[in-house]
Amino acid sequence: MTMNAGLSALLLVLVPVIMGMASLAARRISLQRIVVGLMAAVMVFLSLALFWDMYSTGASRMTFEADEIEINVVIIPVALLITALDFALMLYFVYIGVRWRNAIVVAFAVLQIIPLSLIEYAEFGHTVSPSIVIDYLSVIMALVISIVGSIIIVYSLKYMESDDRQARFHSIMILFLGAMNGAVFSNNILWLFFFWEVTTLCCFLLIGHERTKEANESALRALIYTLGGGVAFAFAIVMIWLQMDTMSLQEVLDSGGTAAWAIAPVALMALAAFTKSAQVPFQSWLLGAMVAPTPVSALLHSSTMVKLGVYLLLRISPAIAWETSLMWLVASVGAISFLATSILAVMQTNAKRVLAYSTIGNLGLIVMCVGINTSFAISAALVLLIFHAVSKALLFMTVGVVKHEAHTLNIEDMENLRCRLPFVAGAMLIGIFTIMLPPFGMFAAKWLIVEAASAGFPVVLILLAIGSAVTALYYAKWMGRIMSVGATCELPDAVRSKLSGIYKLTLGALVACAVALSLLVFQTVQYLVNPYIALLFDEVPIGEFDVLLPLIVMLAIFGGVILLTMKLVKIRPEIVSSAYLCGENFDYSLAGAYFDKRVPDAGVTYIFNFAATVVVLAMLMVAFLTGVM
Amino acid sequence: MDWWVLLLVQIAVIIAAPFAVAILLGIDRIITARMQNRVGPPVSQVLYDFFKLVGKEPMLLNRPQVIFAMLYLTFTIIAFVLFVFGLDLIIIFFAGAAGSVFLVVGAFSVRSPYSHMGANRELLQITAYEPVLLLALLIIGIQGGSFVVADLYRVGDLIFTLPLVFVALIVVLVIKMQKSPYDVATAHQEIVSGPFVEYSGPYLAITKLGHWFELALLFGIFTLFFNSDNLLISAAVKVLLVLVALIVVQIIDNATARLTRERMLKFTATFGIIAIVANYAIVSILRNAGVI
Amino acid sequence: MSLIEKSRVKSPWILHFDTGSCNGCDIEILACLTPRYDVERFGILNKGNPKHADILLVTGPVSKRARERLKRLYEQMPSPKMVIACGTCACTGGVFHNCYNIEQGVDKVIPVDVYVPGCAAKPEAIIDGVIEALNKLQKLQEEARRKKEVK
Repeated sequence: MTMNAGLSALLLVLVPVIMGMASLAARRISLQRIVVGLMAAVMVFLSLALFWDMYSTGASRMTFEADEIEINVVIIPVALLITALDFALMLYFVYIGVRWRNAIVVAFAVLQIIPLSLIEYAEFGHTVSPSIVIDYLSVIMALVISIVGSIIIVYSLKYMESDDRQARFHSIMILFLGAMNGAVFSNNILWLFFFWEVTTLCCFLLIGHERTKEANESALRALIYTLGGGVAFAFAIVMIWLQMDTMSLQEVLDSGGTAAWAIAPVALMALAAFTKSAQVPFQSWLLGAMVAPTPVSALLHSSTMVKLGVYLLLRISPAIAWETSLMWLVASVGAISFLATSILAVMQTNAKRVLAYSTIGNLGLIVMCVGINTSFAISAALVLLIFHAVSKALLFMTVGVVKHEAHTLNIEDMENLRCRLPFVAGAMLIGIFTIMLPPFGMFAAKWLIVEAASAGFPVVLILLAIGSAVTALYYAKWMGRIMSVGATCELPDAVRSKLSGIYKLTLGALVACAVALSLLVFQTVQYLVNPYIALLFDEVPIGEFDVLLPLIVMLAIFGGVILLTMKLVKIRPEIVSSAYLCGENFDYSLAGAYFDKRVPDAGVTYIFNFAATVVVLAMLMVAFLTGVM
Repeated sequence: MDWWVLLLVQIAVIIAAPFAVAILLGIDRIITARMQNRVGPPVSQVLYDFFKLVGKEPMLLNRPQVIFAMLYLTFTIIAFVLFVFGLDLIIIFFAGAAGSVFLVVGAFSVRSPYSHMGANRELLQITAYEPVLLLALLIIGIQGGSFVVADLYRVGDLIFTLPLVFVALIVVLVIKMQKSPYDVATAHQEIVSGPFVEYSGPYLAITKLGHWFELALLFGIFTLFFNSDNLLISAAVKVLLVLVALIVVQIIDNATARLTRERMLKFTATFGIIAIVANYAIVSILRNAGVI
Repeated sequence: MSLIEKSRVKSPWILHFDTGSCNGCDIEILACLTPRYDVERFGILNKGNPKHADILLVTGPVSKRARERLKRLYEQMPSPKMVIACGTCACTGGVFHNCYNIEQGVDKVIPVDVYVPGCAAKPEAIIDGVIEALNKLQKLQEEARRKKEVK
């Protein structure tokens, strides 16, 4: 039996739901491990089967109907089910607002229920055709979600070992994968909205997992921001329904922006995407969310959930091109986010905060590319999406292991990591390499972005130039810290911790993914990115092989030089010297305190928040004005 | 030109470049000496320094230090080779930037106070000059119509249309050559040698060679600013541009004292970026007005 | 003479260390670096770092405290290296000879190649001493080469 794409897509949503419920039921640790391992294997297989089916049939877009699914004689009314669950979800949000005595949450939830009820009342029984659209954007997202997500959940088996509510934890994480997959396959805007809100719910539940005061506050803040985005999304849906009388994304995008108020829903959806992806000025919820356990940070807040926002932007990118000022404003929000978070990350010493800022910055780059909206730019955005997901998840996971083994999240304390936990230090080093240095993949994305930006928006170039230099600053500082090792490392009785097998397996898997992707960057572009670009634009910019050839060559040279040097330089005791201390010889500790107090954190945040708020308001004004005139 | 003749010329340029830079640095020391009313070393002094270092007994603290120094050398060579072969300016820039980062991480990987301080300051230096360099390259590419060096080589009038970018690149040269007022990383005699303090003998020679290739790339970018069909005039003006840049840097170096790192950051962020933006704005206005 | 051997003689980088001197000899060494005496024409650069230096210029009678530091600095210099004792204090202890708080001269701590007497040693004498050290280095290199050829 061949795995047909539609079946794969369906299973990619259903399997996590089933497995999530199974995980909830399986209280024993060994059962948990079996459930999670099985889920991981099945999800990886399904996503690869999906890609294989798309590739082997040569199709660049497949559509399916899924309003009702027939399995032998049982008919599952999927559309009805989703509608019912949607309302249940909204009411649950109201309940959360009431329980935590937060008026804003209640208000936002109510503001979502009203437009939703309107549409459902008028559209009851109306079907959207097609309800599932699978193109290469969905395939890319599905691969990232299923493969990276599964690895992270396997990792959290070991990480959350000592937690007594880990069954609940794992079931929500697994369920979340299903929701993400559902979102990227939906063509029905209401279904997309439903899955969007399910991820909001998962985010809220997972951030508040520890049930400390701080966790609850952060969870509520995340809920407020993302629900606010959901309100914007709901209003956008109403406007689409009123103006274009359709709930199909494809029809909206194909309409060409000729309807009277066509720009407004696009701007509102962009706003929803900004809140979901924590762009400036909405970034504070993501920083607060770092109190959650590390697997949550790795899965939700770096590689998958925040990518849902940029996925929406990529999906509606043809619509953003309807209005030039909208393109410019979206690009500005991305560029401002990138520059702001790069500067703010320099001054942090908490590793998770650095990674959070870095995530927002990279998402800002993707948003900027969507704003520029040329074929080059969208290619850059997709390459960036893929590479960032893998590398950032790897970095968060290594930080989590360090937290468990060395009990610290402070970069200043990670000195001597290369000695104590060599495998983790190596994985962390490779993670940072792949995320910012040539010849690895992210650099390919950065290069594409620079090329794209220079074609369209020279003003944005300044922010890009400063931001990329500053990015190198905080990552190099971090790399240096973990590489810094004293003479005691060479001694046989140096303290080295033993690492669990699960950690080695998952970290090793992501390292392998990151390196393989960098080596196969051309293939990635050719088989995953170009088919989607060909669909949107008429030309495919990265077709020539020699454009990416220097990268492969550089990577080979990079590996070769490292191996050669390691072979040639033999450490004999007579050539090992000590550090120059003006002839002194005493114990000392090294601080990395060069950057922290230079720029006032609050002042910088204030300035950038102000600038970004101005841009967002301008965006809404543009939406309003184009509709009125 | 036949392709194999071109290839031979390119390989010759790559091999000759470090020697040429060493001679230029020797000229640099002679000019400084003459400005200070003394004789100064012979022109090939920098080469003698290099070979002396090669012949020293190796001494290291740990292996990653050497590995990162080798990676620094490798990537600066890659950047220069890509430039000579006429490839994409942005890839060249990022390769060079990677080299600088590898040097910094190499300096961090030894547990030495001076080395760490030097590495931190080198990072600040990179943050200061890289935006200016990247913007300059971008504006050169936009003005010249392509980012590929082989195409930019034929655009002969960049010195006339982008003079302020040339000035901004001189600022970058001041910082890269470790000259006052912005020799922040290896603030000599204050933090000894900064990131190079724990390198000795052949490993120091590796970092020096990497530094020469870095400078070779920057001087190469200077040569992009003029070209003409007459080979003799072209070569003469290119050499003149490089010498002018060098002498201006010398004059600035001998006339100023070392300034703080905050001043360096503020200076490049304001003067460097504004110069480039102003140049581009003027050129765009003139082009729209039909003057050029 | 091979290129590397010639370069060693043409490019001596110095490290200056004061082991308790009255600073008279130190000022004279500093004077050597000024335009009036200009030792840069010999390729001499004042590096403050033993790992970069070839020639160690020591002044002062080695006080008990400076002993360990001097030793460590000497060990941190990679070979081939030369040590020059500048001033009579460095040579034999000078006016402080037989005092209880000093080692009697640098050669009690580390091997010295050239002695430059004087109190304070004149810059011309210091330059002379450095050239003497370079000549000695050249001779050592020639001897080593001759030994290799004989084998």
